[in-house]
Amino acid sequence: MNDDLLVEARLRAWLQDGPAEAPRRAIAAALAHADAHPRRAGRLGLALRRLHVTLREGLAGPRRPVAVVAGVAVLVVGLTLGSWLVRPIATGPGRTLEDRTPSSAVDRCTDVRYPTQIDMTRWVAGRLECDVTSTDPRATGARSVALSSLTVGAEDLGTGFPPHDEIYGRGTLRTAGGAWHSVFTGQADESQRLVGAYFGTGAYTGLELVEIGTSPDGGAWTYRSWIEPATAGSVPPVGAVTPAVPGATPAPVELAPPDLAAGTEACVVLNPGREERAGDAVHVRGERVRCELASADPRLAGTLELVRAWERLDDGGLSTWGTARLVTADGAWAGPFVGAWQPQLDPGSTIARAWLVPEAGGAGEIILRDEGTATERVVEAEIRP
Amino acid sequence: MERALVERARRGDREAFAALVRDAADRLYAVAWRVLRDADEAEDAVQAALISMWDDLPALRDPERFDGWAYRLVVRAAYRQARKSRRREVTVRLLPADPVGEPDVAAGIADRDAIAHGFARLTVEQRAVLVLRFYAGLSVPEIARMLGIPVGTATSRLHYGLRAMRAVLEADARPAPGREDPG
Repeated sequence: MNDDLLVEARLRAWLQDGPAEAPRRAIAAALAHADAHPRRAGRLGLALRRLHVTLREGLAGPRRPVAVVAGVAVLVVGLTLGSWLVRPIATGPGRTLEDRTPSSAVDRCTDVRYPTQIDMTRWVAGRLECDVTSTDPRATGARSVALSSLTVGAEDLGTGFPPHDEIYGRGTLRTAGGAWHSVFTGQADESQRLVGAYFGTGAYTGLELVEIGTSPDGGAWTYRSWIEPATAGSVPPVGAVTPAVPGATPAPVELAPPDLAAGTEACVVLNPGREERAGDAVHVRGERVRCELASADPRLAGTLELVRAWERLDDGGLSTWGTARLVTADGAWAGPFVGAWQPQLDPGSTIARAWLVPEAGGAGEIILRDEGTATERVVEAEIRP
Repeated sequence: MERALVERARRGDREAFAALVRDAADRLYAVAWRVLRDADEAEDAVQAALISMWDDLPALRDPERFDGWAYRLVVRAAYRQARKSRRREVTVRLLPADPVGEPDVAAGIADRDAIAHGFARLTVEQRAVLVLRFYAGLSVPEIARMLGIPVGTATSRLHYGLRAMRAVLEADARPAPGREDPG
């Protein structure tokens, strides 16, 4: 201990030496930037201008401090335009998939609240309200989205994934016939994949609306979306956790910074489910997985059970979604999850997020982030008691 | 005073922003320089942080948190700067040795050299935590919150950073023939 204190003292003294003044050029450059970019009303407009620049230059290129803003705008595009492509699907794996490349309709969303930066890597509690028009009336209505963003550094989290930005959150789509509740996640890296899984309530109970956006070359985004029967027995308790109610007086979005907890994960497949090929994708439904979570935080340590669906495209991309149930010493938590395969890494490398609420009802939520390869997985949780 | 400036700058007041920048630039540069140990890279990092300050200020919800938020911007910029030069050898500015100096002075210089040597071997993430802890005077929970990492991760970076520093200093203190290069 004494040696440690001595090292600290020597380091502390050594750190006192150094320059006292910042170069004036840096200050002048920042002021010139402010002069050249006067702040205008309407942050969404700024976000969208940045998006166009970012997409043109390619999100897979050098990282930019505005990546989160671009991510937000990408989300607007995805959630709005993806819904246009929804079509009735009678059965699960046997459906026909079709790619589209939308180009407009971003203005259907209103930026109600810009995400707030709560620490160096996290932006939370952004909020969008969207009017959604779909070819399927079941998906035509008003969508309310709460979104966050995370900047992942190579050594910040997990298993050595390349640095990238992620956007994630939850949403509600209210239509004339019922409502859909979702969790979504996406990353602005080489995979360029955005996945959202909406679980139906009311008249849509037993159905799920899946939206997948991709932009593997960093250019225009392609979306595919559809409605299909939910994986048997997997409907989460979304009715109790509606995150935001569209309307004249939107429900408040939780702004409090979350508690953070981290741990590791070891998983086994209990049931591989059924696998079928349709079009350009292999579809897996009903896979059951059990994971043991180890963490110094008892709120994260426990058993996680997943019921998963997969879409494995011939282009190498893969998306997954389903439901998750976490049992800890404090009780059971349940909700939907979504994720995407990182095709530039080993098979089985995914980043997924689950949105969990107390199974017994009541307040609180966990946004669980799962990252890893086939052999090494880590988890991180944003916990709001 | 500063709160009023922050609020004005958030609304797009260029003069208020200029006052904030002039007030914050020196201490942000001090942190960036200590993390990166390179004047040019530190200047680039501070410039990027100040530009982000203008772009992202509307998203700063609580003006009272401006100082921590500004540190966050510059550390984030330092990370990016370090990654740009990841493949380059870390440049450490050492004080020139004075072969004819007094023994105490020479010993002091040697000590600083050893510390600089150890510091240069750390990851940029570890260096940032050490600078924020022992230069900026932040607590570990404050650092964790600012960097957006669990407290355990911040503690780990601090622990392993200090351990690596200690290993280098101990190796440096051994007689020359037995000196080893840890790692």
